[in-house]
This record gives sequence, structure tokens and C-alpha cells, in this order.
Amino acid sequence: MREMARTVTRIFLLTAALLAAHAHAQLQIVITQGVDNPVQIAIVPFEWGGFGVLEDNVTDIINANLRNSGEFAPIAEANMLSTPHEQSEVFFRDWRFLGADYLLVGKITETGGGAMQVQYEFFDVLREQRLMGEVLGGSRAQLRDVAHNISDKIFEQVTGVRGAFATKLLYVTSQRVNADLTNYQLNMSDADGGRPQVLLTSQEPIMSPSWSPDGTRIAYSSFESSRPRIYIQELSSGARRQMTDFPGINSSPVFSPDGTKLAMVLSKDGNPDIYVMDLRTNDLRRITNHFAIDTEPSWTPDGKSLIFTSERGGNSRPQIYQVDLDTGWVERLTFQGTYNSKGLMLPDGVNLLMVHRDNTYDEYHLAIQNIDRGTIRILTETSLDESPSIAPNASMVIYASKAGNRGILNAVSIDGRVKFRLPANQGDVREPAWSPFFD
Amino acid sequence: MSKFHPLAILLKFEGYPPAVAASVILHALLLVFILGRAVTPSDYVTIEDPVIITATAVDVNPQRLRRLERLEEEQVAANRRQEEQARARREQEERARQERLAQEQRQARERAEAESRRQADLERQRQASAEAERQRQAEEARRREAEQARQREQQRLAEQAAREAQASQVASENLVVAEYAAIIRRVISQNWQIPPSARNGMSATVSLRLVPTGEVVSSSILQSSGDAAFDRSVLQAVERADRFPELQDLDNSVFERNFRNFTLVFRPEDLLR
Repeated sequence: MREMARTVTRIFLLTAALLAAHAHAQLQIVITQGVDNPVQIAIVPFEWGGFGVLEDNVTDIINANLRNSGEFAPIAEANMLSTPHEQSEVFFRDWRFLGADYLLVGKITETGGGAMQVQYEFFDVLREQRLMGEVLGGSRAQLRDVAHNISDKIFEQVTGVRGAFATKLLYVTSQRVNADLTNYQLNMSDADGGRPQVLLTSQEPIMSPSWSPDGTRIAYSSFESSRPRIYIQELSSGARRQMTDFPGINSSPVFSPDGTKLAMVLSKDGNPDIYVMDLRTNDLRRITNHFAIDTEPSWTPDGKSLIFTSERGGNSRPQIYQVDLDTGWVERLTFQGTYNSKGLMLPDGVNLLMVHRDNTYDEYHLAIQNIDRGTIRILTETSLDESPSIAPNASMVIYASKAGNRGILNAVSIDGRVKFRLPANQGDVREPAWSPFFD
Repeated sequence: MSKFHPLAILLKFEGYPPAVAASVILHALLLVFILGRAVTPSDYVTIEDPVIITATAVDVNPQRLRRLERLEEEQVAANRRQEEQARARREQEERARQERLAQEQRQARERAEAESRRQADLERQRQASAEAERQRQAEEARRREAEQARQREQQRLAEQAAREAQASQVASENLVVAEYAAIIRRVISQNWQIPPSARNGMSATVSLRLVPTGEVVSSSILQSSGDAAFDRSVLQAVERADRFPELQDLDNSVFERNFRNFTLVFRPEDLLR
């Protein structure tokens, strides 16, 4: 009996030892590289059970949003083996066969009185899981908002980054009527260029529009009184306030991240320098004082510094600098290339978007420099004098470009993968500004 | 020679020639004298039966007396001669004996010497053979020792070879494992779409369970990255990879030891953020 007990113990110990050895020896494979392919998503056309054709095609809007983000590659509708509209109709094998990683299905119904109901469900095809689903309501006119909303939710679900499809753009258009008359307009549209609306019309140039961090106000420079002045305008009411009336240049107003200050370029004291105005007190503080031109201010995400372009380095070669607002300490950020300007710090505080030229005779590029590592990544070509603007989730950059003689808006995904042109009205389109999130 | 004979003297003549010659001459003279006198007819007397008279102290016939005396003398001489002969014989015998003895002694000595030589030889031989034996044994011991050493060395080599074989087996298994791990790494990497939310330093660990066909039968997050999209992306990478058919080529025990259960660590590098 004792012998048996001993044997059992021995077997137990041996097994334990083997298991321990096995556990210790378990293979571990480390994956450090992935692919940079867009996510394959199947967006089944939403079922529309009402009368007529809807003006805004929810499916198409979502499709374009996700594709233009550069993160998604929607699967062509023609290839779909089935068109489910709810979970019970979904056969994951069909979608896996197509190579879809995700599946979006939904339906739109009219609930009476012009009210619309949009139901959607989102699936992980590979793991055969329903990830989310919602029923959203709104008017016919709000179907675009619903589409952007669903786009945002999917984007965040898949990429882990908040979507910025339900945001807005500001841009300036100009249309030459005759030799003496050119009409200028300040416009606001959806982030995809849809639903444009005019905020301001003038026969004098309107320049450098920008957003307050809460998205309720905009600032711009207008020549409407025949010399440039800086204005702040309430979006909801359209009410305007003139902020500056200094001789010389009054331009490039930019709200601080907390919305309490406005950085700008003034030449009232000689040559252009950077100033910051306290919006509560209207106190003006001079930030840079240099005989070279300092311009194009932007705030670092922490609001403690300003990025600006200066030719103080000489040779008429502008470079990008950072000035600490507390200490006034100026640090040069760019050293590569013969031309770097229009610096914009991404929300991560590490990557700097800029217009970059490598050699004197090269073209200008939109580029991102990692200021920690000094590495520069080219996003796309651009023209010299147009300011890029970054989506609040830093997933895309919008910038002005030329198509023939006409100014147009282009957008490029932050990885440079997808570039597309935004639909535009007549005339030249310039100076885009991407809104913050509207919380 | 044992019996005296006058002729024998002649035979023995060579030994003592003057003495013998003298003795013979003397004897011859005596004989002639005696015979001459006896055969003379004057002397011849017929002897009548003697009347036995008892006489006492009768006068001896002088002739007879002389004869007797001569006889006696002869007897003495003969005795003496006999004695001399005996003595000579004894001496001779003694000499012979002595000689024999000496010879015997010599022979004995020679024998003894021979014996002792033989013994010495034997001893030498014995010693030689003992030495040979000792050397043989020493040689044998050396040989045994060498043999043992050889065997030990052989065993050591065999063990070493076995160890090396085992080590090389382990090493070759490690190589095989590394090779197939590289396949898995490649396949997973090709199927991993790193989400924009990923940041350098993020890491998620996935536990995988496979069957020998290379098919993934289960996968789960062992350690989350803390980012839902990141976690889903790594699980999707496994799902998208689905199976590693190359693993079918693996030896079953190697599969069981290494690929039945293993973990994948997703740790992106060189991201922009």
C-alpha cells in the first residue's frame, strides 16, 4: 500500500516536473512588423424601405469616408454574394470568402412625419462577432450626419482612433467676375466637402481662417476695410468682433488650445513678428522680436509654445522654430532641406507637419518630421504658399492645390496612402482649415 | 695375483726389478745347493725303518738342523716377502683406494660442482623465468591498465558522442523550431494590420493552440495591450492566418513540444508614433 502511494507520488512529481519543464519551454514568437494594408470592409447598401430616392446615400457617404481615411478598403458591391441587412441574414463564410475583415449592414426606414430611422450592425467577420449596433434617428437632412456618425463609430472601433468625419472645414473661395471685381467667400462644409455654406462674402480678400478649440467661433483676416484686420465670428449667430486694426500686416490669427488667447502676426513695430493677444483682456504681448520675418504661428498641443517660420537663419531660407512662451527661448526645429515652413505640431506633440523642400530646385512637399528622431517623411507634393490643416484625429491633412489655373482642395491620409480631391464650388479654393471635434 | 707363484714374480717383474732379480738369484742359488747335496750318492742313505727310540735330547743331526734353519730362514724370508708383498699390495690397494677415493671425491666434487652449477643454472633460470613472469605480469598489468584506459576513453567518447548527439539533436530541433517559428512570424506579420492606435512600446500577448495539421483551434489574449483595437487586430491577424500548413511537415514530437501551444507577442516597432 505504501509502495503504491510512493509510486503514485513519484508519478505525480514526474508529471509536475515535466509540465513545469514544458511550461518553461513554451515557444514565444515575437511579432514586430505588420502590414500597412487598409482594412478590408464590406459595406452592404443599407436597405431603404421608403418611397423615392434618398438625396443623401448613407452607404456611399460611409464608403467614401472610410476609403478616404486611408485606413479602409471597401469591397466592391458587385462582388458581394449576398446583401444582408441584419444579423440573421449574415453568413460569415460569404464575407470571409471575399476577404472581408469587417461587415457593415443596416436599413433605413421612415417613421412618419419626415423622421428617419437608421439601424446598423457591425461585425468582425474573422472572429464572427457582432461588434456593435445602433438605431439612430433624425430628419432627412440629417442623414449625412447619421452617415458621418456611423463612419466615426466604425473608424474608432477598428482603428482605435476617434473618427473625424463629423467635423467641418473652413475654406476661402474667390471668383473673378471681371477685371475690377472678384468675389471672395468664406465657406464651411462637412469634412468630406458636403453641405457647403457661406459664412462671409466680400469683394476684398479673406485670409487664414481658423477655428476656436471648441468649434463655436472662427477667426480670420479680412481686407474688407481695405486694410487687413483680424475678426472673430460666432458660428451660431454670425456675430463678428474686430480684434485688431494695426498698421501693416494683421494676419494668421490662431486660437490657443484652451481658447483664451489668439496668436497672430503683426508688423506694427516694423517687420512682421509674432504676437499673442489675451482674449479676455485684449492685452497684446510681443513674442518674437527679430529683424527677419517671423510668421505662420501655430500652437503646440500643450499651449506652452508657439511654432513659427522665420528667415532668421539667413540665406532667405525659412526654417521652423519653436518659442517657449514663458521663457521666450527660441529653438530651431528644422535643419534638413533648403526650405521648411508652415509648421504644425500634430496632437502627439512629436510629429511636425510642414511644407518642405529638400534642395533648392526640388519641388515642395508636405512632410512630417519627427522632432525627436529628426526623420522626415514625405506625404505628397504641394504648392508653396498654401497652408495645410490637420484633422483633429490627425488621420488626415487637407491642403490647397492647383488643378490647371484653379485652386482646389486635396486631402491626404496622414500615412500618405490616400489622396483625394474635395468637391468644390466654382472658382479658386484656398486656405482650408479643419475644425476640431464638436463635443 | 692373489696366490703367490714364483712365475708371478716375473710377471710382476716390471714393478720392482732389482729386488725381484736379487730374490730370484738368491733363491736359485739356494736351490742348486740344496739339490746338489741331496742327490749325491754319498748322501744317499737308505733309510731303514728307523727304530724308534725314544730319545730325548739326542743330538740333532747338524745337517738337518741347518736345513731346518734354512727352512726356517726361508720361511721367515717367505713370510717377510709375503708381508712385503701384502704390504705392497696393501699399499697399492691403499693407493688405489686413495686414488679411487680421490677420484671419487673429485668426481663427487665435480658432480657437486656440476650440481651446484646446475642448481645455479636452475636458480638463474628460475630467477630469469620469475623475472620474465614478473615482467610479463607487469606487462599484463600495463596492458590491462591501457585496455581499461582505452575502454574508459572509449566510453567517455561514446558518452560525449551521445551527449553531443543529444545536444545536436536539441540543437537541430531548435533549428527546426526556429525555422518554423520564422514561418509563423512571417505569416502572422503579413496578416497583421497594425491599427493607427498602435504606439511604439505597446504589446499584446496571444495564446495559441494548434492541431498537427497546422490549424489554429483556439486563440486568446493572454495579456492585453490596453487598446481594444490593437487587441482585436492581433486576434484578427491570427484568424486571418488561420493555419500554418507548413507545420504538417514537422515531426510529431517536435510539434507537440513546441507548437501545440505557444504564444505570440505583438510588439510593433518603428511606428511613427
